[in-house]
Amino acid sequence: MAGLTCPQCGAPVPMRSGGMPYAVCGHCQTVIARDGAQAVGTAAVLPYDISPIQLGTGGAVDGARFTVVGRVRWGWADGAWNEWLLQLSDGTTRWLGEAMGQFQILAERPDLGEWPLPIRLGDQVRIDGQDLTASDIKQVACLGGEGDLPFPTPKDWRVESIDFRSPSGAALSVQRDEGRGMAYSGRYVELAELRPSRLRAIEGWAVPEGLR
Amino acid sequence: MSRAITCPSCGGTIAVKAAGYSVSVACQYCGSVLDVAHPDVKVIAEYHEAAARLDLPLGSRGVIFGTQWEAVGWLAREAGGYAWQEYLLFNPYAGYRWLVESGGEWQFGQMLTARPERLPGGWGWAGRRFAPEEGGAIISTTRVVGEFYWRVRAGDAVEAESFISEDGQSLSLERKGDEEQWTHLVPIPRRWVEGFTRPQGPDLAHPTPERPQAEAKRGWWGAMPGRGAGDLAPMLIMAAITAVLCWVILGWSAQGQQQAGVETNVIVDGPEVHFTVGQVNVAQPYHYVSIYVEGSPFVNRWVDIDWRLVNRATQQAITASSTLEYYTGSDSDGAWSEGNHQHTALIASVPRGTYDLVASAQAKRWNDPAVAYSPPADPFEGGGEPIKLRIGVATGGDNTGWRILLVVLALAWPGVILLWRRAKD
Repeated sequence: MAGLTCPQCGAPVPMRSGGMPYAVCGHCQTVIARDGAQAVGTAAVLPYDISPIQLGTGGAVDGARFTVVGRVRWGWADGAWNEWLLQLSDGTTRWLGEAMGQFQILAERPDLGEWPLPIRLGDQVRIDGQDLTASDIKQVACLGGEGDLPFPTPKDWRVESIDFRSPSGAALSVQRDEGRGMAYSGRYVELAELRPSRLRAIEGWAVPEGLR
Repeated sequence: MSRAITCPSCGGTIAVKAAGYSVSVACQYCGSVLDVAHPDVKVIAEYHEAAARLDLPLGSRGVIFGTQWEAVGWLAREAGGYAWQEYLLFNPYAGYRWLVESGGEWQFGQMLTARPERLPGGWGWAGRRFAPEEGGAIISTTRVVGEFYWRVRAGDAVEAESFISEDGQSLSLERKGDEEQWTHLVPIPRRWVEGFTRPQGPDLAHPTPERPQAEAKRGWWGAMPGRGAGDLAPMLIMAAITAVLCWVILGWSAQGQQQAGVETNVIVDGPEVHFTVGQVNVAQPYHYVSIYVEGSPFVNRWVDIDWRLVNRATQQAITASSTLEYYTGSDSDGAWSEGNHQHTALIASVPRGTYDLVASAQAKRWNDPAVAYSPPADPFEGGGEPIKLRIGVATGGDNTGWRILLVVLALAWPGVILLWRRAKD
């Protein structure tokens, strides 16, 4: 599949990853389904934020190279955070969660998506030998998206987001709306250990030695 | 680049540095706490206070452990009648850190993303063992300025416990409801904080009036001395005469003699040592006094020395200070070392008279956080490590550096004009 043009405004929409079914037009924020090049909605314009990550940032994780191909920004009553989509050279994907200057690497867990019960604060679950506790449950709204994405990001999309934590730093994130649930498990990482390249240049700041 | 907002309470312009991360801003002009999580800025708590006068004005930047940090937020906190201050530091590539000042000592703190390991009678982190320092306390935040990634407000209270390692690092645990946050703190030399540069650039709240237009104001400005085309040559001659006079007179005035000397020991992480260096006689109306101090070789220690030159007749004191410091370590660029084992403090224009030079010195240990701490085999040995200081005091002193500076300054202005005119032609 080659790059396509936006059915709404005609701007070219580059193809960043192998098989993401949706893309957000960088010019008019139209959400495009690649299959048939149909406009399926409009994403909000992302407000300015000072993230060091951008579309095209490269690096390495879990033994493979990656490129950042998309982003979804989520907001709730007391703040907002970014989920960056990483396309790995081995064909899999990861999400790089970025909140309050800290980073998490998360992998989708289709096996955990259909959570059987309502989740309450303090509920415990044992996954991959780790005990995790539901530490945060909140209603979040999608603030917008950019690049290539596995799902559309309409403006009014609201989901319930549940964070599980373990003392060792392991993390599980469950997002549910009426339609379906998605679960992601992972861990905290330092930006430097991803050996990033092509970080965003931020005016007034030099990219530190270890991140160039 | 930053996001600029207007304080709905006082109208002041505030640049939000960590746009997208910051959730609340305490206005630096009136203290009102604002909600900046959403595009429309809302007032959470309105105050009309005088602007806080901070040791480190927000926007100051400095380097700690090889990374540049900007002070973006400030909290005044207290527990059980004891007060201290905490700065929130930010770098978009490295996230957030804390800079904590308590009783003149500074600590640099990093929030942990995992809980430390539970050990019998304490906690383990970064190869160290941390034992409880004192019982739990309730910490309340009494004042806030700047921007924060959580909902901050004066009056916030958290339960806190702190733990300390043998080498003076600490772990702090703060608990609010179900949330617990661990922070790892290491002591840093005060000099690193003093090295922060104050914010540059225009103050948006107090704009400077526009510069008078050169053409429009030609009347008074053009008539000032030194504006004529022929003034440059006399200016250069005057500057040259000034430079030569400065050099000769200051060189003569710096001649002097050795007055006293002493040796003393200071214990690393031990108490402050007070001692007398000796008597100093200043025979000229005004003279230099130079104090030379050299420490026995040490690594990853620093010694702060305060000098007091006390006039016997008036008991008035002239003060100066020296810091000896020498650090080594390694980072991604390999091994590094910095610092000096000797220092000369030069005091200018000391009036004629007889003085006593007294001093107080304190030595501290610095630990490279990249290297796991190994406690000394003999637990008493670590507390007893001495550094020998050799001190000499003399009137006069080498003021060559100052003389060169004065000559450069004397010649600078006509030189700039000369270059400016060349460039224009």
